[in-house]
Amino acid sequence: MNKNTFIILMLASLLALSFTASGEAETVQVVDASGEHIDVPLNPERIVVLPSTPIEMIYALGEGKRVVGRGVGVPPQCPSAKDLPCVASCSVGPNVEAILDLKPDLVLMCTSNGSKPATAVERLHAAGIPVLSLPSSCEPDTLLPQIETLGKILNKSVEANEFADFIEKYLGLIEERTKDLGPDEKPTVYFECKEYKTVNEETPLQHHISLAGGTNIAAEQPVKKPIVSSEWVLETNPDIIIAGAKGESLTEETLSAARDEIVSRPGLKEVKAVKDKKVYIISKKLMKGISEPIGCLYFAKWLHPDLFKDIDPTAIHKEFLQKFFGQELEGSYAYP
Amino acid sequence: MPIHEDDEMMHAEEVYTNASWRKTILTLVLFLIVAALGLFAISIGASSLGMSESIRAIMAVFLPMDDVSHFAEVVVFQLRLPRILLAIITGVSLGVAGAVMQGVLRNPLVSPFTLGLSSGAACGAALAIVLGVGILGTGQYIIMINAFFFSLLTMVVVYAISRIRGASIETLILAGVAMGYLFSAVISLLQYASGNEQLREIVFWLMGGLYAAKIENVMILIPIVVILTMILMRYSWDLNAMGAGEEVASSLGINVKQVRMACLFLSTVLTASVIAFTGVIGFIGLVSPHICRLLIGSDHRYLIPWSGLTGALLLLASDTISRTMISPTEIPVGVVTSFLGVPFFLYLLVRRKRRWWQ
Repeated sequence: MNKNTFIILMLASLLALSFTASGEAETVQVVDASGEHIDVPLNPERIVVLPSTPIEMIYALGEGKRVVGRGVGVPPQCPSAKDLPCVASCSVGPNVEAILDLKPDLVLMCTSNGSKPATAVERLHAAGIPVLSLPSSCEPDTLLPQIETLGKILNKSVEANEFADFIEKYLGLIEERTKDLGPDEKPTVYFECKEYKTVNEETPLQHHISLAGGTNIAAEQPVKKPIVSSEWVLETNPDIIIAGAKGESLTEETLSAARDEIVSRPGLKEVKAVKDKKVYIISKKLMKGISEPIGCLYFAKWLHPDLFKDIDPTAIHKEFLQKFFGQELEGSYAYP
Repeated sequence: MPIHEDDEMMHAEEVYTNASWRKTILTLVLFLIVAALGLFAISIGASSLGMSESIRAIMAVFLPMDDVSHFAEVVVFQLRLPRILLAIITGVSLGVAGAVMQGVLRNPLVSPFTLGLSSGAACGAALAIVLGVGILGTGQYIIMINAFFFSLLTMVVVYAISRIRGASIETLILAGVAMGYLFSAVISLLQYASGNEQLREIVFWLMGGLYAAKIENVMILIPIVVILTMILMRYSWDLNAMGAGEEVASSLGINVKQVRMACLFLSTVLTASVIAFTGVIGFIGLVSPHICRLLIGSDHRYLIPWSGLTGALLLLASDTISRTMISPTEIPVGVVTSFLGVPFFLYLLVRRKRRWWQ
């Protein structure tokens, strides 16, 4: 009897020990979007990543294979991410059941927009899945901290630093050269997302324009992405017009067609930017996520060609893709 | 006795002629009000170009004036004029189509909206946005053409369904409402499946607006709207007779089904062509016939032009407010239309005591 009890006790404690051993995975402390320190598993094997920017970062760190599920956006640099199961949609947010089905060790999401992700976070927590909320991918200032965080989690700090350095180098370079410009030296910029739809100072594009040493004519409008009056644009007479072009694979023809449409618009024909031939088209892919710094380089070059004579954004973009994504530059991203 | 009857007859005729004259004159006055508002609208805007300078620019067309700046010319003729014309032409066509549809279906809730035409157009546009649009500019026409044809398609389907059930009015309206729901479901599905960018564009289209007015588009629309309105006005007597009931109309020698089909299709083409250019602009097609019925009665000879002009007035006023209130940022015109039109409509509803819908 005694012996039996002893054996049972032994077995039970062994079992308990093995449970604690397997349950206590290594964790690492990182800072989430709201600035709180939280513990997330170190080296997670299966990660569901809803925003597209962190997917790009994970790919750039060479750990793309760990991503097992994605959100709606497929980052252009990671074509293979397209085949991953999509477990969220723009209008209804993350699908918790589909996420659980993928048995992730970690879920990365972006909680800044709306209540739907917040509900999903609660449910995932209840199911015991660690969730790390990242800042909205549209904020340029958060790119570098995000890379650092991901480097920590994936145990790839060296690569993360290398990547961050690359980005920092060029953003720093732009800032260095434009920071001392006086208000008179800053050209006025009209940015267009869509016919007469522009951006105010609360959008990331404001950052691009002011970093590149320009003044956004619509900075003070009350709506984030307002439609503005054509006659107002005409009267404000911007020095430079930059328009975003969307589309999967843009060619020089499509970009140049978009430019032709703008320069021939009745209300814009007379504007200084059109007369001086300073109308530029940029792919929207260069205005969000990890490629943002490349977009900023184009902006800087267009706004201050004299200051950035030695900079060739296309060449840098090419280097960026080869170095971190092992890809060649295909199609057109900016025109002319 | 017979002499007395004759007298009364004479008297009635006189009253009728007088009333007709009065209404014709009132129609002209309304037309002048629209023109005056147009003139006012052309002279205000987001730029610093003031009223006097704008009016000088307009007068320079007729009188030799040499001190009009190039800027004024561009703003007035290339930017404001197309938009004002588009507002008028859109308002007219929505108002006329609403009046005809309500008349022919003898139902106060009918409008291009309730018959599913707007949803059909929006669905077509959404399909083009999600499945077919490449870049800025060039994709625009795919959306328009799609919107136009889907709108027509809706009416064809609705009409075909109602024909199966003996073309009763109720079936037709209910089929329209049902189709509207179906298309809304397709739009929701497309919104659900689409990416951020496309989602935004669909929402944009659903809100409608006149800010992208181009003189070429206006030139396409003017003949369509003018000709169709004139044809529809020729059906006024038939519509008046049908207002008394189908049997009455039939006994008066009107081919009710044929008139109904013709009117519905013509007014569908009318709305579809403007909606294709402006996006969904609701409310005007429903409310301007009602406003006019309250003001001048339900004789379609006057109701149709009045409804058109009231639609123009309402849309032009709304658009002018939408582009000047917090300029240079614009407010979606649909928002202003409802804020402006609903209180006015409710006021008329409450104030008028008599039953206005026969």
